[in-house]
Amino acid sequence: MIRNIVHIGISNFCAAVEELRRPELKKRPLVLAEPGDRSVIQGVNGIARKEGLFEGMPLSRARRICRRIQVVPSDYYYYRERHREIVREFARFSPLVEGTSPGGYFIDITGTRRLWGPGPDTACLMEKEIAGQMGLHAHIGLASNKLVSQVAANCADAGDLSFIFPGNEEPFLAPLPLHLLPGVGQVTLSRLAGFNVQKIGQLASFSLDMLSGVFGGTAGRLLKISRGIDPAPVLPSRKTKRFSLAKVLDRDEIDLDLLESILFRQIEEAGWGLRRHNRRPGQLRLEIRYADGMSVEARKKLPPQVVESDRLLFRSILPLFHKLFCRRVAIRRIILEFSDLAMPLGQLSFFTWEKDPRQKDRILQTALDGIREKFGKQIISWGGDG
Amino acid sequence: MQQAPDFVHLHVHSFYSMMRGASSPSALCREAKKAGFTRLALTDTNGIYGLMNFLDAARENGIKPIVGASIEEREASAVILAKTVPGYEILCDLITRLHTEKDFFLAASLPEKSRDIVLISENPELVKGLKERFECYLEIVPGPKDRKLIEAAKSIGVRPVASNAVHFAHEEDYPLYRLARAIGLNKTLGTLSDEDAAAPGRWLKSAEGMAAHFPNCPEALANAASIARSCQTSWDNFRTVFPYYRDKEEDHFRLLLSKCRKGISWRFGQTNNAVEQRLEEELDLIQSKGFVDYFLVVADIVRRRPIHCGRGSGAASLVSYLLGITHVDPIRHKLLFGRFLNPERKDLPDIDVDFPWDERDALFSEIRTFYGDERVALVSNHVGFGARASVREVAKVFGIPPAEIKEVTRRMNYWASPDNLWEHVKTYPKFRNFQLDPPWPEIIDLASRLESLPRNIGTHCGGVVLVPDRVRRYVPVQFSAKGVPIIQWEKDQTEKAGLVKIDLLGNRTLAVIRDALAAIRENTGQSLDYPNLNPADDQPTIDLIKRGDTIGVFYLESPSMRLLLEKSQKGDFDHLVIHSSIIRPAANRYIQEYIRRIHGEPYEPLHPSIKEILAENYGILVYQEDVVQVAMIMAGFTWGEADALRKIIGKKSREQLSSYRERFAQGCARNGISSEVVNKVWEMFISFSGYSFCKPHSASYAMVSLKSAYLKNHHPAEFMAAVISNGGGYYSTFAYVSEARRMGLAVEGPDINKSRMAWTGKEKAVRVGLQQLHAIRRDSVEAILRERDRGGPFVSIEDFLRRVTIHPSDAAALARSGSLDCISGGLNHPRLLWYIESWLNRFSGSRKGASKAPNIQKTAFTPRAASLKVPALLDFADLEKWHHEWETLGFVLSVHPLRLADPFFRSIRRPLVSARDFQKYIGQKIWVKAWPISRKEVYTKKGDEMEFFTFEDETGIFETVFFPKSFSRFCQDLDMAHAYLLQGRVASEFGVVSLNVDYAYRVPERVR
Repeated sequence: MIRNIVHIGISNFCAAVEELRRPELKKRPLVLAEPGDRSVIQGVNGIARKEGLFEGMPLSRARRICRRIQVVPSDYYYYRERHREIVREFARFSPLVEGTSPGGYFIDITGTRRLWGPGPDTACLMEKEIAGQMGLHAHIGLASNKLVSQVAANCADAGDLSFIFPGNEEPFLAPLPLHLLPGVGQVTLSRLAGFNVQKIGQLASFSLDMLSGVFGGTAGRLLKISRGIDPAPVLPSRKTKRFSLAKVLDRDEIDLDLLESILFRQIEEAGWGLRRHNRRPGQLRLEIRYADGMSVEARKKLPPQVVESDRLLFRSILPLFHKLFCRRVAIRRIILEFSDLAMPLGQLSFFTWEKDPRQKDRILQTALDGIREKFGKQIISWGGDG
Repeated sequence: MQQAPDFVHLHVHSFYSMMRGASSPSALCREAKKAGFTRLALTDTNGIYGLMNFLDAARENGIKPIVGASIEEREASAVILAKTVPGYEILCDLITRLHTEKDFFLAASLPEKSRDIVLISENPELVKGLKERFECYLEIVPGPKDRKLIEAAKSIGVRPVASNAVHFAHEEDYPLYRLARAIGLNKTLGTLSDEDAAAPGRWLKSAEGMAAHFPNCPEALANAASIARSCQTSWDNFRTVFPYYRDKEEDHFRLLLSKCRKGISWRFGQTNNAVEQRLEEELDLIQSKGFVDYFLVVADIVRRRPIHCGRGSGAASLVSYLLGITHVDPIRHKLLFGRFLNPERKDLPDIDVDFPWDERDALFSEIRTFYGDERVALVSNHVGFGARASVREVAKVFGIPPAEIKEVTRRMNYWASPDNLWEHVKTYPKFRNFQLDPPWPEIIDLASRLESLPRNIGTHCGGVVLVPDRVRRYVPVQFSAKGVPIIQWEKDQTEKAGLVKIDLLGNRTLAVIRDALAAIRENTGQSLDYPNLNPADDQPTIDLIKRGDTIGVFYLESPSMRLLLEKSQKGDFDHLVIHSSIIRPAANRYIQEYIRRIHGEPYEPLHPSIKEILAENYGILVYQEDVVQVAMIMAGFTWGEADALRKIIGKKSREQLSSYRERFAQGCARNGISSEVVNKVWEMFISFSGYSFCKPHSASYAMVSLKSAYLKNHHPAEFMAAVISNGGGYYSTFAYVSEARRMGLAVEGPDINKSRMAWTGKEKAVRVGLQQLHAIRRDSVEAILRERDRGGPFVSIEDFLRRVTIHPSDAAALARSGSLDCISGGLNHPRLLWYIESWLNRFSGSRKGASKAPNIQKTAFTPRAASLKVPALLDFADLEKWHHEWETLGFVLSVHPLRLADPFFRSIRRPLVSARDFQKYIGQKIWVKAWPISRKEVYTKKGDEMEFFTFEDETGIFETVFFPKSFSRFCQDLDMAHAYLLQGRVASEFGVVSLNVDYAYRVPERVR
């Protein structure tokens, strides 16, 4: 059966949403970033992009490149809300809606012809809906699979539809530059450029035999995507539950004692949150980002019950931190992320005379939490190293 | 008043403990004097790196110096003090063994028994074991362990001695000390543990301060004082140690004389009066000063390498000329021997000899084998922190990312030094609009304090000491990173200690000449001999120099020298000698005067009395000897005084200068010379500050310049190939390639079958050597060349891949550079690259590395290349190919790099003037395209920065000036890897044009 997959792409989603909220920001380069000299750009509008600014660029550099930028703190929750709204909107058309990231949506409208009419009409209708309701203009692509519909959308202007008739995928892709092809990363791209392969069509024309001589096992996949073959289904997004806490340091710090105390405070924060939600994490991911932008991370399985006391939690996380922090470069950001969250179902001791070794810690922590709940978090804290 | 307790610091580290101490010996002596001490020991870690400076500082401050070292090895550590001169020798020997023997153990390496040293250690076990053999004490440093140690001393029956294990002079130096430790250990201040750095109290406390720590054991203090009294403190009589020549002949003077006689018949054919008289004079002095062996040794060394150049003041000696050390006739060119050896000269002169840079190591090891390992060592070099390094290291301690550090350090210029860092950062134009956010101010503060801290020791560029017996009797010896024995002192301390050194220096041009001569012999069969190559009368060579076509020619290739040559229109030997001396940083206005006088402008001599001696220099002081002679004639200075004046002018010391100025004026007044003349002469003296040359040195170098100019003129291809191969010239490889093209040579690309490792030149073409392929591992290239020599040229790409085991990235770089075009069998670069990669993937097993790859390609089952399918790929566009050349060779080979910026220049609406047409636009404003070749930043008289920039376009090379205003505006934009659009006014001086730049625009496309 021939599928009908719509891709709807809203470029510079966050900035566009922000501009809708505050129309006075339009017509000048807009940058979403936390205030402060050392923050990093999280979103830009079209004008700013033309000036050469992009996500991930340090704000200080952006200011040097373009003096008249307006900086607005990024309101992630608001953007996510808008994103969910759009997903809900599209869900009226089809149950299969995949919101890969804010501003990018796949909708599988196969078999909805009798309900909504021909595919192109449906796709246009969808665009009209969000344009009318939310004022956002999207690029629309319609094709028989996700890959081609995404490329098609990228080739269309905002508000326009680009429809690739089934069977025409390969000729459509052939003249396009390779970097438009999703699934070809920077490394592959530069390797292909090393052989003067610039167009998708060139890649598609190779035989598997030839291509695997150079690209080995990935040759098959490369050939498939270059010919517009993509059987991937549209999957409604699922969410895994995570609890994460990111801390951007006030200034780049390299003093180990200070860093440890910062980490301890962050762990206290996390422990408090986990206990309040009555969750026990099974896994921890610790990520540190150095001042030069390099980041390293490590994961660790957490023993059960460790969340019962901040001190225990800290003790189990500290070795991980020491392992990660080994360069002679200051740290800018620390992220703690807990996953595999579960209810704390502890096995009680069978023999009542056996003392639980963690009993003391637990009681102390409960007392601390109690005091904090009543009088505020800052009211009591550990002295010395916890 | 209570009397101060008797105590002396016996365990003191200066910054010569190499990042284990923070204070200079003189700071320690000053502090000791302030605290009322009369004696002080210096015991640096594993060395006596700063001994001579310590002795000087002690003398200045009236401190009696005690010599020692703190020996720290894996198992044990102890302070060892020399009580006597034999004790000093034991110490030197011990330190040498510590550095040179793998299984060094302190207890085992000490002599059997000795009363000449004192051993102090915190380690009771060590002291217990050694107390029968030496005078041993247990060191008690104030701290938690001190009581226990006092008990231990009692129980093992040795006397305790109080010590503060000093690591810095003053308690405020502690942060600097910790910084030095962090840098030394590659750590940050946060991760520095207690064992890594000494406690904050380890400074040079007063005797009272120390007594307060030992209320329970006053005898420990008294012991320190009594040890100090028992140690020798007069170390001023280090005697002069000359190199010693080894020969069957007992009477070395007679040997020298007979060698000189032979030299006369070699150099002059037959003797004459002038020669005889000069020889007698020189030999008398040489003998009375003890330099007989020195000359014999140097003559023996230069004999081993035919291509060399004796230089410096030693070139003034007829004896050196006769012995073949130098090659300029001192009588004919009126070189004064007095500059080298003189009855009044107290310091020790040395003879400097240049050798081809790549022969120096082999020569040194030859000397070691001939004279014996024990007798020879190189002088070391104490490596400290320059401004950039200090900022970089401190920033690393603060955890600043490397890229951010580079943003700051790349803005600093050559003149920045740690002590003027703040001023530099605040005023230097490149720091304009550059915010130094915290913690940078703190970093700059600390970095400026790192000045003069030695960090490690390296090898001096050429100083060799050669002693009659064993070097380690005089100074400890250790190995450099390359495994060469070096002594622990740098050249100044070596000289202070009386060790006479011979300077064997590396010189690239001599290697250029050697390689060019070899190539000429190979290509033409013509055999030119280096010593007898004397092109002083070769007119074409002189014309070449006159034109300033001297890029690549030794000493004459810098832009300022080329301008001088062009403006003066003089290229003969005598003028070259003057040229190379008058180009000095501070002599700019006299250069202008000099050129005017060459062109016939009349001039009055400064004073009739010196008319004669300055006649050959157009009445201008040019050489160091001129200063000395003028001071002697006009002010009646003795030779010693005049020479001291010359030295002080060179060092720019203000107070000493003004006192000399006074004396000079007084002396002149006595001879009835007007103050006006005195002022003029003094101004000329001052133009010798910074650096200046003596005539013999300039004459020696002028000869080398002439020889290389001769080769450039008559054998351009061989010469340019040798210049590029040896590297290290004033210009980049690209600039030499451009020059070769201007000379009408074809520059051929690298070729796997024709290129050698080095660049080669023949007839009208030079060919890129495989050494130029920077991206390829050196051993890969060597393997390729070996295989080519063994099995003949490669016939196809398949043949190449089968015969040579090569890493895929190396093979790709070879292909991109065009080296494989001759065996590609018609494949274009993309297809060739594809072929190589799939071939290597298929037949060498692993993509990651050729080292892991099994030698399948060498088995009997040779794979069939026909089975490899290569898709039809389009060839790269020209621009892409040029980029590939840039990446693999370091420059664009096929076209001028300005072509890379063609799209930009096409869009310029203004008419662009070519370099060769500048003459038509004198006085006018013009626009030009420009590719940078070299740059030199200088200061104006007012102290503003400006820059001389050399650029070229497709038609020629041209000089430009960025005066302070345009420099401060454009300096942040100027680099060496971009094309530029310039606007400026053409100026002309003595018929030579240059461009005064008003506007510069960097063409944005960066050439990678």
